[in-house]
Amino acid sequence: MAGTTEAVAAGETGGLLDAAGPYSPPTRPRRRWWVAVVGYVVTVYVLVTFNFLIPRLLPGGPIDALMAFGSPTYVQDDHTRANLARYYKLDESMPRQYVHYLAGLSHGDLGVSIYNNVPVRRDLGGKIAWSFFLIVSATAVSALIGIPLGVHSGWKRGKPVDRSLLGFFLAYQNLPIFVVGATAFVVFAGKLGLFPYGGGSTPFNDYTGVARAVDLVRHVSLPALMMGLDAATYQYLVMRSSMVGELGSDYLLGGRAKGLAERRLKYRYAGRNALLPVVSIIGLQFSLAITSVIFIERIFSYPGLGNYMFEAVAVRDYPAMQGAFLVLTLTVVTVNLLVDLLYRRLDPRTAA
Amino acid sequence: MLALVVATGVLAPWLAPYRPRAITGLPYESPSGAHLLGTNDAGADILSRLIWGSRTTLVVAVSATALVLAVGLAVGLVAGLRGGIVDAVMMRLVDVVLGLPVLPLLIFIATLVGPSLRASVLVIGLFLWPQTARVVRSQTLSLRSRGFVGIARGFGGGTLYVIRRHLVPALGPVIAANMVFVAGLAVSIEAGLSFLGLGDPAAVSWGAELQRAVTSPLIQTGSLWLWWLVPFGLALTFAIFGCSLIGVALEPRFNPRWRR
Amino acid sequence: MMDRRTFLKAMGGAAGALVLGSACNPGRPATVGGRPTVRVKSWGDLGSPSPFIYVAGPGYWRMSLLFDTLTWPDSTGEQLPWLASSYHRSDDGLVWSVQLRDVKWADGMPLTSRDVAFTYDYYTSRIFTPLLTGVPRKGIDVRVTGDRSVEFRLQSPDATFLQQTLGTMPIAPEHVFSKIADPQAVFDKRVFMGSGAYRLASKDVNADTESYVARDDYYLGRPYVRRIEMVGVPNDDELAGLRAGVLDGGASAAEGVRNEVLAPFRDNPEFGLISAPAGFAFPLFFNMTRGGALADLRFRQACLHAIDRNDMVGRLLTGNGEAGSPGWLPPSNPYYTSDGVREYPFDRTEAARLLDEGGYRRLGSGDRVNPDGSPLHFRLHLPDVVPLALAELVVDSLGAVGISIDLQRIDLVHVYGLKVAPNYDLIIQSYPGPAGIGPNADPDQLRAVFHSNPPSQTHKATGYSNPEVDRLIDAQLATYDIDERKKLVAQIQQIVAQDLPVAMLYYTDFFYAFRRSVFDQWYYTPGGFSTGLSDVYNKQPYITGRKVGVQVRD
Repeated sequence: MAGTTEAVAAGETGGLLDAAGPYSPPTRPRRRWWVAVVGYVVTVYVLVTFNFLIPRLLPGGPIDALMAFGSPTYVQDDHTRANLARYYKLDESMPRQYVHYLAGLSHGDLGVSIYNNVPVRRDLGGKIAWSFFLIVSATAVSALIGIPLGVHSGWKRGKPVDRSLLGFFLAYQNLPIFVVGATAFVVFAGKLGLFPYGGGSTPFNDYTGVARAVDLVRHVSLPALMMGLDAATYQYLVMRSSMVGELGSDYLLGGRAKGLAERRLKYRYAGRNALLPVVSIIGLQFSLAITSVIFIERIFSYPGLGNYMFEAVAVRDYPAMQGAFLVLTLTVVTVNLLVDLLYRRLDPRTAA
Repeated sequence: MLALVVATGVLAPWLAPYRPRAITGLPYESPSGAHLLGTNDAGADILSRLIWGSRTTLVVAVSATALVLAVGLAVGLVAGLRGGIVDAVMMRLVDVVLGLPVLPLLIFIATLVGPSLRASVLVIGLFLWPQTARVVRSQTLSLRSRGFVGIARGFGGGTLYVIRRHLVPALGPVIAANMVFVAGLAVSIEAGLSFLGLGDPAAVSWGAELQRAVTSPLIQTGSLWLWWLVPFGLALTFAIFGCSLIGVALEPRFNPRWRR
Repeated sequence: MMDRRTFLKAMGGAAGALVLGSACNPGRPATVGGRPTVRVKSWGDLGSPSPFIYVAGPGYWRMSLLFDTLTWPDSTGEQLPWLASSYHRSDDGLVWSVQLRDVKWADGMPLTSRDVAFTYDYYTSRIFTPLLTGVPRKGIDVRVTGDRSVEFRLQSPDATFLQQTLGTMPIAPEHVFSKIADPQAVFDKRVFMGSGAYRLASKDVNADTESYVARDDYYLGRPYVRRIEMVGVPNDDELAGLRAGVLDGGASAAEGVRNEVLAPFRDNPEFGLISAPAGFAFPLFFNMTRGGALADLRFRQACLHAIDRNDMVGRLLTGNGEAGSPGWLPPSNPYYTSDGVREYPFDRTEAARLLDEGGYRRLGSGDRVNPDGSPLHFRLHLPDVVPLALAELVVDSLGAVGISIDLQRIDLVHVYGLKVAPNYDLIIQSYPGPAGIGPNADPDQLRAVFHSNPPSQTHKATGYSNPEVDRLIDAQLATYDIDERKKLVAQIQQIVAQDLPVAMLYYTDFFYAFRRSVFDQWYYTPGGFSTGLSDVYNKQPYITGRKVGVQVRD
């Protein structure tokens, strides 16, 4: 185990990040920008088609799900089934359904929830805002934790502080977020009552201004902390290794020779230079956030997109499921594309 | 670490005090001599379920990894050896699948397929192969460029012969490192799906038992969480950490990127 | 050594989070002028509380706050005239005439008998989502006989008519819905303008809250509970929500509750706790169409003898439930009988004897084989609402007499498909389904299980058909006389306990804990409200502030 830590401590985390598999964005081979855009369009098309096909190809399907909830007073015969299929336009031929579906999508129509009869788009709007708030808070937490500790750890490379921090973050990285999240919820919010018992705000509050902000922060604190710690791991590792890379630089030697304070050298000079690679993992951070937001919102019943998707899954509300799925996945691939394009502009090797 | 998990899984029948489903006590017993970690909501021994659960973990890890290996190897080799348009098309496919956000997709499909271990494995395998395919392809390309593939061909070796005789041995170590990562991921994904209630809750598995513990109305009372929730979380972490440590250890030795 | 500033920052952050976290829930005025605000669990977004688009049992309850029915029960279970001022049944039992009170819709228009006739037509002539729990039976002739009088002419006598039509069908305004062809496609507040005691005051899908405020001009008087607030809780754990101060009342989980969970409420005088027997049930269905052992009475009897139902209730529910009756209905149902109903006490020797007699030989391994030598092995399906622990006990018990079982967890939504096909060996279902008609409801519930032509396949005893049972079920529906009806229902229980197409495992007790200082008039309605909903949310006590009658408390 010691040897392994050494390998990472040697200043290379690329392998670790690549191996993060589903949580990592596509590694970026150097190709032209339009290839990336075409790839993006293909991916979007695949997702949109998946979204259409999967519920229709697998056994069960929307009508069965609907019928299962049927009441005893409601006759569940073939006639009803046919009527329902007609109502939800599931009796048309597949190509026709597909055309309708694409036409609807093109003007943002995500269908109407079968369960609560509300247009899916209407519900999603608010959910996105909540998820966004949670992700932003978590990112703030992770930056506050990951970056300074990474700088510090890299600066003190090989010292006990570095080793224990590295050990902690490597271990934490391997703790499934739902295990930590669920335990934290049971213990801190449930048993100890230190945090609000789930939700995104105090119900029926009429807070304004500061009180409202405090209330929101109070509710977001524990879930954001759990999510943030998870993300901080990556920022820490990248920050640390890039800091290690800066250590031998001439400007540090020069700075020391000029008698600049250690702290100033550490944060002003080395830290700032080492920060660039951290920017490049924004895409990765975002994919990670989408994964953890699903678990965290579920555990803390936070009113965001992940929880919405989950509630839809529980009652097999296909339009709602599909809507949440589309928004989540399209956001991830879009962010990945933007990061890809941004990266090209920043990285001199690909800028040309 | 991993060896411990593997050993536990293999030796489960001898290590565990009871069969995993056997009702050996009253529900929710506290830890005692007879039940070192107490009993769960049905009255089954938690320790035994922990031990037997490692077996499920192993099965998931091995079968998902095998699936990933098969698909990844096939795609990577074909792309690497054939080159040209086949390569281009396959690599775009890899890009597309890699670009997909996996968890929402997994949830979506697992929901529709219904809870079963086999489905979980299939679904996991379906989305983890591109990374492997890419690694295999790049290795194949670099081996091909080194020329001995061409020479072997020149001596009349068939494609299969080349693959078996030259490529597989050369690829072995790289694939091994990749596979260990995939195994770790498969374990965590399976547990994650189970946790969300999308795995097979009737299976004796760590993720399923975690979900059972978390949804139990009694988890908020007493210290139940200490011997029901925590051990399964730790076991999972242990297995996943084991995998990624081995992967990290293997990688520098075989990944050309590490040799500067 | 950690850098000091970093350390301080981290500590400061942690301390700040703790301080913010521990700031206790801000107080709220629970009571205004003696009229309380009651906070209960929200079931998530159930869409508009409208008569034609509500969602299952919980959706019906919300909708019932805004739309009144002609009659409605109180804690005695009696149907009180509600929108009706009186109702009367003709001697032949075919004509029900109803007089209406002088009632106005929330928009000021008068509610007339034309609205009643319109509502019935609207329900029976259109396709609606099957999530509605109480769609009236077709074939009733609804005649307007005056501005405030209406007649329902039935084709045959119907003992459930009073509860399931007069006490269930919400009356909708004709002047609104006559202009709406498809209520499912309308999302504005027109569709929930009703005549009820409350109006929807707020709805926040993101916070998972809804609030309903009393209408002071309500025709029965100013409602006692001023405001009803619904709030979502994590994991739907209402009791934890009550303990955490989020709710004013919380129900135990339908699948049953252990004493450890109830203890904090029993020991604390701040809380009240009420209970009702047999709110929920878990029947084990045999797919008799599969033939072989499943169609063999001795095998099914042996199964029931092999399962210690009383022990299960003790183990899993710490006694908060009751062992199942082979006649389906629980002892708390007024139509229950044990007279002449065959019992199947726990007896492994008897189970083994029956199996031996049926030719299911026991091998050296302990497992049994069918007479043809194939293994006596089945797959037990388990929808996700059925506790895993219950199924594991069943598997363990049957295994002990040599019947080997595989567990297969399935999603609740796939039950319907399995039952219709029918494509299963054994399945433990939950009863009731989302529609909420509990084991204590009207005995016509037996139709859904034992009649060869049930309204729905969901709870049908697959492959069971007994002409005598069909006849008795039809006969009891047409019998208004309670004693007469009890006799018929008793016969049904005797026969089905003998034929045993279903093995009822156990019924769970319902508990409701509540904060006394806020509202203490909670009760479980005998026989349920509406179609037979078995949960605690009858609107009568909120409106009147008491458990009996329509007089509103001052």
